[in-house]
Amino acid sequence: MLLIDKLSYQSKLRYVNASEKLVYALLTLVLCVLSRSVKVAVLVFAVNGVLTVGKGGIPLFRYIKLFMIPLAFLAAGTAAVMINVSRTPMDAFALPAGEWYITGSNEGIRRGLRLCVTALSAVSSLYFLSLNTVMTDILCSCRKLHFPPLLTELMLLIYRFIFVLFETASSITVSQQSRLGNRGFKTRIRSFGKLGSSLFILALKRSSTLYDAMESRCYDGSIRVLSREQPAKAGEIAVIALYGAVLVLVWLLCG
Amino acid sequence: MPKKKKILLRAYIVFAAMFAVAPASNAMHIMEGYLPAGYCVAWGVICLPFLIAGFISLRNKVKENRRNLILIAMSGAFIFVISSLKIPSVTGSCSHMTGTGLGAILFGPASVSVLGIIVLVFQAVLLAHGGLTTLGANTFSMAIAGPLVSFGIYKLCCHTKVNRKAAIFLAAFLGDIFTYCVTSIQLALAYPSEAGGVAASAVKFLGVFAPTQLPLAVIEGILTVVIMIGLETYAKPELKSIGFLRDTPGKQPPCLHERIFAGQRTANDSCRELSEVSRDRIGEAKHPYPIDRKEA
Amino acid sequence: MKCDEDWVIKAENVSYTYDGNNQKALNGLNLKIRRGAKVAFMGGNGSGKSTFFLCLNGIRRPDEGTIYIDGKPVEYTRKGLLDVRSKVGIVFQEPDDQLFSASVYEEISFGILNLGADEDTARREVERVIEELEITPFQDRPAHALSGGQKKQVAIADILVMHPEVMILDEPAAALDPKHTRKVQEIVDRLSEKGITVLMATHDIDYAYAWADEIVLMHEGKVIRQGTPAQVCTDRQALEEASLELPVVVKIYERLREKALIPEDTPLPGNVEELIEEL
Repeated sequence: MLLIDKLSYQSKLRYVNASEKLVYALLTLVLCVLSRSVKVAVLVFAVNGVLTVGKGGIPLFRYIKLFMIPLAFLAAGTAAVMINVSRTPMDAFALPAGEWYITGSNEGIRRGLRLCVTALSAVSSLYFLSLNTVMTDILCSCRKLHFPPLLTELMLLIYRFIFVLFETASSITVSQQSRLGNRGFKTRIRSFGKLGSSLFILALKRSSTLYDAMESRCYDGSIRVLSREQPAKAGEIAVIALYGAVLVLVWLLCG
Repeated sequence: MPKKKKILLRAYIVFAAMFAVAPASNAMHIMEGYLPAGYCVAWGVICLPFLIAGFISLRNKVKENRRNLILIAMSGAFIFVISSLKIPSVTGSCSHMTGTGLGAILFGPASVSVLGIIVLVFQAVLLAHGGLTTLGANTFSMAIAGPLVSFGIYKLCCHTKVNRKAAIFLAAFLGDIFTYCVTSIQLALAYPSEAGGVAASAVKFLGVFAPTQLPLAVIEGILTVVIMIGLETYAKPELKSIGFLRDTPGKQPPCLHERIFAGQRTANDSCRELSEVSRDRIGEAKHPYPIDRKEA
Repeated sequence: MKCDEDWVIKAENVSYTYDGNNQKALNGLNLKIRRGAKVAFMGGNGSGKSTFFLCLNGIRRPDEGTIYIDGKPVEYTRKGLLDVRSKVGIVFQEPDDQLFSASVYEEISFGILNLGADEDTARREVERVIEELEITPFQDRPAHALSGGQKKQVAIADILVMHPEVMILDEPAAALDPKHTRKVQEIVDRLSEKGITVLMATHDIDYAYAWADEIVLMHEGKVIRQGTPAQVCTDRQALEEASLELPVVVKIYERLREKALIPEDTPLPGNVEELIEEL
């Protein structure tokens, strides 16, 4: 159901130390956003693409399709940034509308396009993380980074429970649709509403049994688990640090 | 203006309009990398006091009864799942609820702030909705501001005995609208218009997202009503039997979220004793691992 | 008579009512279970099997009566409950009600870490159990991508890693395909070989008849019959009260004797193979 989750378990980069991948992704993300440099963005986008599709083995067409997700927001938001309504026309374009002009400046268009490019490259960094790292490994890194235990325990449980609830929701939906629950708009609203309330009730019941099961295994208030993680490799860390330095150089020198 | 540019511009406007109105009209997550670095940090800092308050509130609930941890986690998963399911829409496009209005009514704004940020992280990583740099901004608009408004309106209506359905609808609808307005202002602050500054920019962003967000808010309001009424009609005996509801005779029953956590106190005998007895840390008297108890 | 018998579990007059219910889930239940025995619990839904299991590890505390584990009454203190739960493990009927982590390795490590094992011991035990229960092929897959049978194997591993003395399986073959049912049965046989007392709730009278050392019939919160499969499965009245049929083997045996197709003094076969031998 969750495509990105499924792909992350199939990635060839899955067993690389998760903290390395996290640091890499966050580093490139931050540099893209800080620098707003087109050159840095293009470099980051290209490298992420090679890593994710080339080394990670994520199918190219799926990777491209995933970029369609933020496209709607990007297009709408950037349009809002680039297009102005003003009494005076600007230098790029100006469509008269009564006393006003729907207009934009060259500078504005440049800014808008730069925003697009850097945002997409930031998205590629996020995808590097999410497509090549399994969620449980990300959570393990969070534990190592000394996040508050309550938070990491909640995240661990929520990640698991999401799929339990999806399965339940799926059965309920199928059962509803088999009984023509999606016939008209009003019926669909009622069906969804019933789905929501049933899902919550079942979730509550299940949480009670889950707690009993955990207590049966001597749960004492703190969820301690062992993970199997590949240790971080010095060579890989060095490469990441070097890459970060290169990006900073490109930013400062080329702008 | 040269002809080529005109055509390109018209094409772009149509393209943008298509995307704004048509498919993938999700709730308003600001996408990854969209906000300038300074604003990312600023919104994160603004969220902190609310998140800390929420975290402390959750920690207290868990301290009170360990069972609550699982309940809270299920609630978080529920919010995620509800916000991932396709809801019926008038245009036939793919729409999703935010789920935070429902969450605020069920669990209260303190819990929803923390659950909300967790859900946003999962949405960013698993669904590519929103982002990690924009987590602060999205948390503020969707997990703090919106739920506070929803909860405030709901509580107000609870106390003034307004019609139940209207109360829930208004809470969810206005919460959504407020989230959409806050997000537009966040974007406007980061990208003020060349002509008209922040105000004009805010109007632009409000306008660009209005065609999708306004109908979505109405539908979310309706769905929240149906779900809540469903819970309150069927769920009472269920919730009672698993110990989640406690009757307070003679008093106006508190809103559902108070009952859910209050009910835990009567949930189970052995559970209660355990939680009373086990307030000491696991550190002392660690039970030795009985590997030598029996040779296999 | 058998005063020095090793009773790993003893229940004396146990009663329990769920909050808000009028009817007693357990109603003066008395029971003794020998160490190392293979015991099948049978009875209709609502007869109290699951409730009794939850009393055995202290999750539910009886309103009346006492439960003895290893000769000692259950102490409802933190230490006492920890002790009981390290000895008595329950594999719940629905694996989705038991698995809380998406990672199989993390899931299995939970129980043993809770017992206070250090990291190296825990890793060793987790890996041992993963190999023993043949979980290795899917140990890297997330819990939500596992089939019902695979989830069940992980659920059993969860408990086995804690080295319990008593293993309770609540309808382990429910919703499993024949292949995974056989796998679970094999796992259960290996548990008995290790000397672990196995309690199993099941609706499969034929399996219970062939596998169990003792069958316990429950009805409305009480034990109506406890004995060897031969004793219990020829007690028509008890079986009827528990809404159970005769095992196929017994049915055929009795019919054959009726029709004088086998001599009168043929002993009751313990399972299908023995029946076939006698023919």
